Amino acid sequence: MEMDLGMRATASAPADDERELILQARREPQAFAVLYRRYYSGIAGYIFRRVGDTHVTEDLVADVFVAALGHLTQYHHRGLPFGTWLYRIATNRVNRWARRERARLVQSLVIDPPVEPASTDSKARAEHARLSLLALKPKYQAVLALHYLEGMPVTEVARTLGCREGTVKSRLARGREQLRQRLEQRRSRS
Amino acid sequence: MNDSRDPVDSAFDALRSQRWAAGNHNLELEDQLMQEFNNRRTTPRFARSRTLLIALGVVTLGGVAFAASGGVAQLKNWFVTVEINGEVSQVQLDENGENTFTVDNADGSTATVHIQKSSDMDNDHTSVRVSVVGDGEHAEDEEVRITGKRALQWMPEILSEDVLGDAEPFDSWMDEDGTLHELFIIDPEDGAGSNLYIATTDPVSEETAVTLAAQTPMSLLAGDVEPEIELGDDGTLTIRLDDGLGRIREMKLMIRHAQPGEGADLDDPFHFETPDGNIKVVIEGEEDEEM
Repeated sequence: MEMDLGMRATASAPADDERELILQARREPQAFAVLYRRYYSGIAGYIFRRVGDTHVTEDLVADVFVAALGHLTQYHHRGLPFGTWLYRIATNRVNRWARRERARLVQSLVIDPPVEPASTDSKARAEHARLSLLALKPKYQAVLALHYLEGMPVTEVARTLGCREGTVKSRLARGREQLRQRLEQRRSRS
Repeated sequence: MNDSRDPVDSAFDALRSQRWAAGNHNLELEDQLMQEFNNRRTTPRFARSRTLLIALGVVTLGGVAFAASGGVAQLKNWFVTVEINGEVSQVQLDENGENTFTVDNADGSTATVHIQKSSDMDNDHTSVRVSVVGDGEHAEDEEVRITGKRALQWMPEILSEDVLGDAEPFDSWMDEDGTLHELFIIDPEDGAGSNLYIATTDPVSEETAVTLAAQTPMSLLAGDVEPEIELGDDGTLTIRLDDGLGRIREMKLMIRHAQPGEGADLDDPFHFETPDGNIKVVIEGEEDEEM
């Protein structure tokens, strides 16, 4: 499964380097800028795949990094990679946005013209998939997106969300099933 | 495209193909962050480092089943999300309806978060209690009580006035409609902390209802100096303790009544946060989809 730039950075960044960088970033803006550049595209890509709108993505990415800057002194480098912490903040922000927007998004799913499953228009298929995903409860959206879109293993998803692996597995199974039902509803309508 | 492919996998393939095309970083945002960094550096440190170490949330949720959008859902479990100073922890209660975990505070101390679910004898309401207890020496304490009304019924546990014994109220205040509220602090004989009770007297019937507002891990009455009580305009009750050695502990008790219907939808979980946003608690039910 393909991983985004941000996750590759999480996996490959030397722990000692990152630990030192985080300590510096509490005092020096340039050190924070390094962290920002290291994780920006990964976080932005994750948010964009969930919300599908460039402007909303930019706003949410800004929220994530401002929150990270504000709470950097509370971040403790104890086996939780900095990137995981950012994904946790990002998930929280997107879930909050999704809860607010869900009613409107479900409505748009209803009035949205059906898309043939075999359509070659990848953008339309992606939009259809995104709206179907957004129709699920945010807790299911989050595990499905982190695991299947960002390529995180179950253990990493559990750490990101701060819950048990068993919880992630059950949400993955239920989320997949609910997504399948959403997709098939659309398919039968078309 | 092969139509026999699992539609879920096809959907994920389509979404994975969506790339963030706006660049590897955003210089405008980077500039904003640097400005934010410098602004924060010039802000007095104390104002930013106020750590709230005790949060107690109680939400009373109506019934094992309550109306969700599209029908009545059977609740299977609870998910509680606690955010303390930006540290987010989401936990699911175990088979005993409990969970305990720790959160590191900025000052190096550790806060212990304990969540416990309980049901009354008739099982007609469920309470979820979230308490965060820290051991920071110089930090402030804050205590939050949340009461939520869900579905058709909500009723805080009404206690006998006997629990108050001969105690005198520490403070009292009156609503605009004449309802009298009295705060009592009582140390139970079999516990280390204090119980805070609020007695509410109806202006018409003159009947008094006593409810347990909060429990503290340490006694509020053990010191030589009596606690100072202050009711803020926002309804926050502040209890200030001076141990006589120059150390002041503050506990804030916030009583939050949900509006009728608020949180009744499973997709709109009950949430609460302190005015400064340092402590946030979200409690959401998980419906039993197999029923």
